Amino acid sequence: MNGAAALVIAAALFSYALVLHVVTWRLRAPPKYLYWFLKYWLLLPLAVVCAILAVEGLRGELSASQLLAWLGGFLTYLALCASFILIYPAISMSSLSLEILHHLRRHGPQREDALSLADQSGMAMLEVRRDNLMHSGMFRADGDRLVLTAKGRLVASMIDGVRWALAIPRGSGG
Amino acid sequence: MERHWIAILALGALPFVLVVVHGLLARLLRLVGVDLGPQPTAIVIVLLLNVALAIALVAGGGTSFWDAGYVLVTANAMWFVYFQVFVNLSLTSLHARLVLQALWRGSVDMQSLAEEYDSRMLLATRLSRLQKLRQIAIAAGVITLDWPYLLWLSYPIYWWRNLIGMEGESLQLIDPQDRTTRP
Repeated sequence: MNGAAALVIAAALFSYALVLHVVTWRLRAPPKYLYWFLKYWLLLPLAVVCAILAVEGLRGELSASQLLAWLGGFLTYLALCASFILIYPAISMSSLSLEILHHLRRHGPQREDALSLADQSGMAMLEVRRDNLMHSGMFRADGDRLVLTAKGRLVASMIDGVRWALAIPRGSGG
Repeated sequence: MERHWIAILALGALPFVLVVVHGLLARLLRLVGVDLGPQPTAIVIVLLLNVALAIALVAGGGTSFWDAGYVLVTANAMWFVYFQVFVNLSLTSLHARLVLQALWRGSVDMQSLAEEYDSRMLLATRLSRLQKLRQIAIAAGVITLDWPYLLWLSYPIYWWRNLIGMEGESLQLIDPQDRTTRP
């Protein structure tokens, strides 16, 4: 395999993806960011790569080695994009653990009773996530309770299945 | 050439293969009385993966520096996908916790969850977790940083957050001495 060519393709595509992300977010962060990533990080580069390969193929200039380099490069690009998208929630939403560590770094040692969290913080965290799940059609309200929709049940069952595969006991974590 | 196609397919399937390896390793370790927990098991797996790749690349012979680099970069990115999607999401995500609770109990009662996520309880739980992970030390009622590698790892995240002009969620950690409230 031409590892160098595959790495150059992956690096070029990933650089494009990051620059586009920074420029777009600085102008206005998209409210449905997952759709944005799907459209501009997956579908658009995929269309461009397919077009390049089609043109090269029609001109008879596409060798098996080149095809392999493009596929290999695109696979690495997808893995890098997936890694970034999985980190993105940590970028856009604060982690309390990290906030505590940054607070200690900024202000030095603290007495245990000197640290406190605004009263509404815990509920605010829950409400943001509940709203996300309601808007994405996973939950429906039933009085004061939230009940899974068919889509939510499917997603929950998949997560439950993954936990079983990883031998994580029911009820642990979270 | 056929070997290269197989390598590409194997790299693409790696996150799923790692889930199977993780499940087998965790169950085998439990049989001998060892329970590492999901995240340390995933860390052991990335070490094993890189050792296995290094052996395979050296034993394969004639592998160029760039080919080896390609395989290592892609395999480690695929490991990260497995770690975040399968291990972290199913274990620590609050979104996942809400849907799992609804699946296991039939519904989610936001009121009872709100009690569990009471701000004082939330802070105490996090402090205890950070202490166990040796991120902080608590002695004579004073909290200090211990070996805060999570803090160091978070610098690029905070830097990127500034770069794209985001402020993050407001958690409002308060220091009563100077009355500052930080997002």
